[in-house]
Amino acid sequence: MQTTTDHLTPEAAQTFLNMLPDKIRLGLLTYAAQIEQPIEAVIEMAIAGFLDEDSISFTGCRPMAGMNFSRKAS
Amino acid sequence: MSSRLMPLWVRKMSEALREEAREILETLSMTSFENCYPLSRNFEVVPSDPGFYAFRHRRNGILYIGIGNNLRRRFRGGHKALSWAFVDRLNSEDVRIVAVEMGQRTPQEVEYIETRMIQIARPSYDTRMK
Repeated sequence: MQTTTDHLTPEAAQTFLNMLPDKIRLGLLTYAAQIEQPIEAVIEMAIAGFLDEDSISFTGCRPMAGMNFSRKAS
Repeated sequence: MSSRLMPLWVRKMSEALREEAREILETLSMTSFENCYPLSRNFEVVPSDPGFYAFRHRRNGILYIGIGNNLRRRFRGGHKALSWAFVDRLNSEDVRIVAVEMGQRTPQEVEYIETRMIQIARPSYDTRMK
């Protein structure tokens, strides 16, 4: 998947979105409309927040921060 | 990079975000304690939107500043600030949450503003390097 600097491009986000099950795609699109953010930002927020609950973008994400794994991603 | 070497548009954007940080910090600091969200097990009254939040103590002010994708879910999973408040024997009725929605800001702007607010306010429970 293509990224520019540290962020998903709209094209990459759309490609990813098209590969998801309908209900997941619809859920992400509905959420994006609800919070008035572009879909690429919402996908980035979802992934970053899963890996680090105190982040909302890839830039601020510290993967697995705060999780009790002995080996952390670098 | 020295601010004088930055392109004008970058400087103007930075100035605008710093001003936003001051305004949001003022909201987080100055909202009447009675209008902040009280602590509860499920945080039903806290918005589920993405945004900024602060833990406030009735007399000691801001304890912690953070951001989250879904504020209600962020607190339901437990939060370091609440653990520290417990260890510090703070009365749960003296701790509340105040939140500001992300709005139309980009995630990067939100993170910049969060960092700026932490640098200004230096909340005692915020130990992350910003």
